[in-house]
Amino acid sequence: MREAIDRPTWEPNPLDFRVLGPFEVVDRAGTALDLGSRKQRAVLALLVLNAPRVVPLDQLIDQLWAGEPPSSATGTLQAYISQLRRVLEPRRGPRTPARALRTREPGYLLDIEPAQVDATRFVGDADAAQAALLRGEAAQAESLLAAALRAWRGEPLVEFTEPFARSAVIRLAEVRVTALQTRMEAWLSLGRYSEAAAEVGHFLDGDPYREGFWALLIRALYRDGRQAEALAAYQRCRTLLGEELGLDPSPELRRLERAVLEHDPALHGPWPPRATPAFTPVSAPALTTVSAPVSAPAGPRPQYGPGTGTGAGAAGAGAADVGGAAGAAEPPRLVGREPHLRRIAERLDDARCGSGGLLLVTGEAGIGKTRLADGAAELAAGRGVDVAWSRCLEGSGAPAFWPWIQVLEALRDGGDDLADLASSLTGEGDAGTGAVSGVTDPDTARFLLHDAIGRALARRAESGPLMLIIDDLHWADAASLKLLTFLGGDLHRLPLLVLVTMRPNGPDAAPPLAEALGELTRHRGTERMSVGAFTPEQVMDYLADAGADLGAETDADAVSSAVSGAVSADDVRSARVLRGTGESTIIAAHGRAGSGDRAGNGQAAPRELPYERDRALAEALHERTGGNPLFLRELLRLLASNRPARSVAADDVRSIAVPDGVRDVISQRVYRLPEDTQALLRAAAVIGKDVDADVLEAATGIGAARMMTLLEPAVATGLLAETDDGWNYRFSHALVRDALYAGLTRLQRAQIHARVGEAIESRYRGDLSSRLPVLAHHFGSAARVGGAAKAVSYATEAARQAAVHLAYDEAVLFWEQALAVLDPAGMGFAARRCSLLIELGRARRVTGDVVGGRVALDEAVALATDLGDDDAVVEAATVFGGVTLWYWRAYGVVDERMVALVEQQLRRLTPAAGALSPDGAPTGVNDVRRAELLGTLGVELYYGDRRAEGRQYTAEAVALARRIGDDLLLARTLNNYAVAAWTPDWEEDRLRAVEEILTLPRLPLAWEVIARLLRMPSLLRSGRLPEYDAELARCLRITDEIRMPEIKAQVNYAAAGRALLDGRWADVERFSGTAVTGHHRTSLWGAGAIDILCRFFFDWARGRHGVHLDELAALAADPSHRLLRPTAVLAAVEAGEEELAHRMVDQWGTRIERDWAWQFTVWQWALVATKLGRPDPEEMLAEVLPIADQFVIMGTGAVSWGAMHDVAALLLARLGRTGEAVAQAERAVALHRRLGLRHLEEGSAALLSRLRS
Amino acid sequence: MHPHLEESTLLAAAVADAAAEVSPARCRMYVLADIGRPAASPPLAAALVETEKTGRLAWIRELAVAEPFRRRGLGRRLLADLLTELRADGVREIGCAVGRGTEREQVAAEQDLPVLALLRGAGFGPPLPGTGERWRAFSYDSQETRRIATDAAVLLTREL
Repeated sequence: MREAIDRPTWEPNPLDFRVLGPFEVVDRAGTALDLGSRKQRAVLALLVLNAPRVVPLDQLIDQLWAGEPPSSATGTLQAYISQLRRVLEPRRGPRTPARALRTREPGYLLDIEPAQVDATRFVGDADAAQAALLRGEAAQAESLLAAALRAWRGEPLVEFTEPFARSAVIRLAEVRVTALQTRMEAWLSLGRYSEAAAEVGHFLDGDPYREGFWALLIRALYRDGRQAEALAAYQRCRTLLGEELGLDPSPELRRLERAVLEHDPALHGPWPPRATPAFTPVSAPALTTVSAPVSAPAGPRPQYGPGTGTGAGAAGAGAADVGGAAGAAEPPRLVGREPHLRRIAERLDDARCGSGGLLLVTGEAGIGKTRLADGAAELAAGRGVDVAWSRCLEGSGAPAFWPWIQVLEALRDGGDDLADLASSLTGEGDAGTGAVSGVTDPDTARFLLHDAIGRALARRAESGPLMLIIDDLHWADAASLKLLTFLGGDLHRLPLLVLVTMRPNGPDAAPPLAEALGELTRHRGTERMSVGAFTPEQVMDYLADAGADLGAETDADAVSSAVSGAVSADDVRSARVLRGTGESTIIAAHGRAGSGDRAGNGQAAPRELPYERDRALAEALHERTGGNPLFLRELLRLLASNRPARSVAADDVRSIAVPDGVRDVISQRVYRLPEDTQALLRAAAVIGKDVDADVLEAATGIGAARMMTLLEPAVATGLLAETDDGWNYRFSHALVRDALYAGLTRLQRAQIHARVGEAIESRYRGDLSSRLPVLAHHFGSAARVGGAAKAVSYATEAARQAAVHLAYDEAVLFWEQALAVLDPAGMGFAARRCSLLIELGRARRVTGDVVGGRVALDEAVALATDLGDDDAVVEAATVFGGVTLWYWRAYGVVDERMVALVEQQLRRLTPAAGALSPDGAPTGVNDVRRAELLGTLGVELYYGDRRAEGRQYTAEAVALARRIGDDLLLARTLNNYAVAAWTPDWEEDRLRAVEEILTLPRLPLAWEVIARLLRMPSLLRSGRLPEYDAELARCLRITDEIRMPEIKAQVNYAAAGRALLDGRWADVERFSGTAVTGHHRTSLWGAGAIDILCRFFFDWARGRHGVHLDELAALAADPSHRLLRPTAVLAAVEAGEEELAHRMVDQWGTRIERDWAWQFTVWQWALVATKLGRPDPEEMLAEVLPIADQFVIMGTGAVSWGAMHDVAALLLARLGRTGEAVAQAERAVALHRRLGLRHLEEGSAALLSRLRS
Repeated sequence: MHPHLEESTLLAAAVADAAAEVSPARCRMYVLADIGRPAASPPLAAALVETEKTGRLAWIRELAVAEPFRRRGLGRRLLADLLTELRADGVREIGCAVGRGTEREQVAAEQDLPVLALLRGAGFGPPLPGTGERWRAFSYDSQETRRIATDAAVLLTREL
């Protein structure tokens, strides 16, 4: 930080880290760096020992303070880390990220080359030397070792007494001993016998219990020609072992002695004589491996050599056998865990050959470790390996040795000794029996107990390979851990695989656990495997699988209690054993023993999935939960319970609140952080899931450096993540952010929102236009604490901006927000509210929510009337006179109140009140208003008996608009006319009006579509199909550009009707499906009615009758759906239920309204008349004949049908005028054929042949 | 926590004294504020710290918690943060004089001034023998001699 130049490129770090001896770090020039206080050096040492892997924060704290960290531990650690960074990289700029000492979840790592640590070089050299020796290159081995051993400056890390140092020391010392051994062997090969003897003798003075070195001494002495001394050495060794340890020399040594006595020539070569080379890697596994998904195994290779011959020689061939003989079952399908299961399968195969070991499966809470263990048990069962389960319980409720008690109980039938041991552990047996009777010294007693259990398990394993699964080891008691450690060392020699699941060192990682793990990872055969979160693709797979399971679960309580660790007593006692008989019981979906009989769940017939296999849903879920399976499962369950009937969509995911279980998990993690960090995290949660660091800085008022320091622990524990680009942060799961946010009181939330809003304003002053929604959101949440005014103004601006971008749905949200925060006590409240309501009503109308719009506008009208603001009243009232395709009110409804209101306003605006220019032309705003009002009134009067009057009003409005000369106004009034005049009598005028609209310049796209849609029915009716198709194509193209659900639905209806004519059934389904869905989303009238009409005629066209009769009858009974009545009767007739049809006609009558549905209704009643005789066929014929060459179309085209010639023919036939009937049918056939409408042509041809015969 | 001077009624007197005695560049103010309250509300606790020229000694001139927020652990929290910051900046020893002038008798009688308890709880203790020179040197490192260390009623120091 003293350098003025900030180097843009990073130069390689040339530091040398030396742990073989007192800990020091030396730079390129050879000077040792000042590493600070003892604890600070300890931090660096720990990182070096694990480099370049991540050391979790908790482990750092544990190691430094030996399980009793002070409350400021995290803070102190931060200080050390920053000091170390300064020492290691003195020229790092203030805002550049650290290069060597990095932060990475869940802790820190030292990013250096392994070759920079002298211990790694040492170990590598030792390995190379051993390999060289085996190849016979003794000289090279010797030189390598000489160099390597020179690097050894003393006992490694001598100043540190912490456990990590101890285990490192032990490990490195072992490496050294082996290196020395190799060196002595090399000397023997090179002929330096006396030197070797002297060296070894010297070594043995310090460490006399190593049999290997005694063997070396004997050989060296022998080859030096000192046979007697060699034998004397053997005697010394024997005496030593016998007196001090009470042991006999091993068979190897005895054999060596015999060889010396007999002058065996084999002594001059390597000893013991080997057929094939054995290379056991010298390096033990590293202390911690957290980030790699599958860490490098310690090499459970079968060990060749005397004394351990359990099938080892056959292992090579045995592997092939295993592959064939196992007939390995398909690994169970677990999302995202395939590589883990493959590895477990490999270890199982190894175990069957006699090399077991220990598998440590680590993962955060809820990540699916137990699920993986279930999968492993299934794999084991498939390979004929017996499995014994045990689970550790949280808290102090379980007895000591609890997991082992479960294991022994499960294996009880494997022999009496196991049963005895089990009872001795539980204390149930007599005190006088068992392995530990009569021993008073507790350490000895424990040793004997461990030994007994070990031998019993070994015996059991010899009779058949065995897998033990211990779940949740982090909750195990110290006694169980000690036993596990004891057993762990022998596992690689037994066909016994132990699979342990645990959380990474948690907050209460007691010293016993840390010690046990340290020991266990040293053992050969121990392997660590970590389980990570899902990716979005895996979430999709999970949904596909989980849909069936979750749908079948009814007992949510059982699972959630299992999740939180409270398991019933029955569960605890029934540890299960699966035998490889081939009919293993199916493991329950979430692997809880004994909780309900869910056997067979996985094989149940696939239920209907409650989730669409939807990419958007999967991404929303992944975003919300961060891919954690526990969060995912809880969230899905919550969603499914909230919406059992319909399928879950992405929006539901976004709107749901955090489930309780998940919130607790998160809170635990948060409360471990320093208080200042927690406060800062809560402020960050208010900002949102993506945290802009500048805004956070400005809102809280702390400096950038301190903010980064405070957020370090949060990043290290994985709650927060740094973004790739720069200084910003992101919450790792959205649920974390939600939980933090929910932890604030409302007042705090409001205050912080206000601060954040102001921070954004000040930070991005001048560029606010892209941030309006965010500002509106923050000030809106802070409305109660003084942000109301700003909230309203930002929301208004945001709404306007959204409308400009045609994002009307968003605009509606902003208007609603503005209304919600408007301060009732402020000035001009009513007037402002009124204007906001009008905007809201208009926006809602555009998005198709006519009902919502009407609610808003009604209130606006009431307010405006109270205020006496007539202009506002007019503005509100005329929103519904806007350009529209369908009249939005329900069928047959007239709103008298609105009519009265509009008439009142019109009276106010009579021409006498408006100013007139000298030549009589109207001017001024009043005339525009008048035109709008007249148009609105005309439309409102459509369904009443004043329809004709209404039509005249709209005609007047059109004339007025023409005189004023405003094109948009003219378009609007012409549209009003088209709607108000929609009766069979005024077709031509309507058509002319619509065509005039299309000639107007600069017509908004939406209005253009509407005008075209108004025109298209007449094209279809007169059979001008190519023109219809052209218009339809253009409309479809335009609807992609504008985002109005109403219009999209209407265009799709038109397309569906057209496809129905052609007989393109797939298209009909597609279009009508889209249309109906879209229609349901708006609140326009008629979604249900038109839906059933579409379905009925669709089925009818394909020849299916009588399908929808009940539904139609039920709906049509309601007077508001009287449009459906002819269809219901038609359905009854087609289904053959003439009685019912007659009853319906009696009840409802056959009156035909001369409105927009006239032609369609006539057609249907005519069809009814041909079968039923009612309504009077003669009358119907009179109606039908004039329009016989028209094609049938309903409204703007949701349903369309062939020419009316068909029905005319039918009517004529019924009336006995067969000749005319035939003529009509012939015309139908010709017309259909000309237009290429095949299925209609067939229908008409069939009719024709029927008539002729 | 701002490392620059600001208006604060909690420390007004101490700030005035410090301004008279020593260069403001060597003084820092640490403030504990609640972000869940309006931006303009006063801080909950504040401390004024002076550092010595080489940067290895620091001196707490004043540590105060606002009246309505006492007995909530805020003082302890502020002190802990403060010590961490100073340690990260390379300070090796920190001291504080409690009681001066007339309060001397009171403190000498081991009456528990709250700040005394706070400092003792954070590991402050009487200076080790032989370190008195350091403190004396500190107090004499300005032009005028200042009598801090020797005349204070109780001098407590702590190694960082």
